[in-house]
Amino acid sequence: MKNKNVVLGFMVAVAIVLQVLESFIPVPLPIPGGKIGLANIVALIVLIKFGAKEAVVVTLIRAILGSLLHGGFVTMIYSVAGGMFSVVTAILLYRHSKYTIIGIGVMSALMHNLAQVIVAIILLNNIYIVTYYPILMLVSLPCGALTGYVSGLVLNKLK
Amino acid sequence: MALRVNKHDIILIVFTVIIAVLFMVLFNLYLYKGVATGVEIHYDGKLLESYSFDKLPKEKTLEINTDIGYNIINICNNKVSVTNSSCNDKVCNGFYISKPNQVIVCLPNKLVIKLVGASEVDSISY
Repeated sequence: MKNKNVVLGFMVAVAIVLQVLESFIPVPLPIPGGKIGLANIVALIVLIKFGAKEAVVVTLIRAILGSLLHGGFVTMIYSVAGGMFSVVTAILLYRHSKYTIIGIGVMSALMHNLAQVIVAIILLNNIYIVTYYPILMLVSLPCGALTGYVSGLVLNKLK
Repeated sequence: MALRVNKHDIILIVFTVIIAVLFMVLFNLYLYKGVATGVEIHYDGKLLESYSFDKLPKEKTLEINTDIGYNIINICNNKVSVTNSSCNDKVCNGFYISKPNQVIVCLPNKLVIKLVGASEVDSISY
């Protein structure tokens, strides 16, 4: 594709908008740390449309710029760790598993949260943060399934 | 592509629910045991302040100011919640903890609010 870099740049822009936008969406549950992970939609689309390398680069740039725009340096550490974990998970599952895009979305969300919990335990030096993870696992199911499903919808339209 | 879950997806989802519920039950049975008697506020991995509930009034609002920002902590009937914070996402706002070893984490402000049980408070409220 001739204008590949243009499209990828556009994808980064869309992902940043989604990342910033979702922080304004209140999660209607009394749970800690609930985020939908809308930016992962873009990562999944780029992975399937362009490839693994492109997905990693788009996710990395999105995580860094998105946090700089809305958040800060601390947010960036979590955003990059979560983004990288989830995109690598998606790449491996897309290549080597029989999960549909919905399963890939769920597993990506699970790994995204796991990465953030691990980083938090290390940075804040507090093992009790791990008690958040089971709740986050349950939140990952609808959120991950939604991102996977939406990615599939968009990919079907792009064909 | 077909947008329907397959057998593998279902197994993943069921497995996730089982593991999550199992750990929640285990935490409730073994980690959140007893009655909370105090609260510890950790900042950037270090203990910043600690309070024993019996030395506090029934309802108290604490303001934690650090280099990064602020968190407003409400303590009411031995239940602790964060009511406001300077960060953008505010995911730590709006729910409360009431059992020992439960935590509220504010990632952007590097804050961990942890409840402690009877035996632990004695050693920290010197």
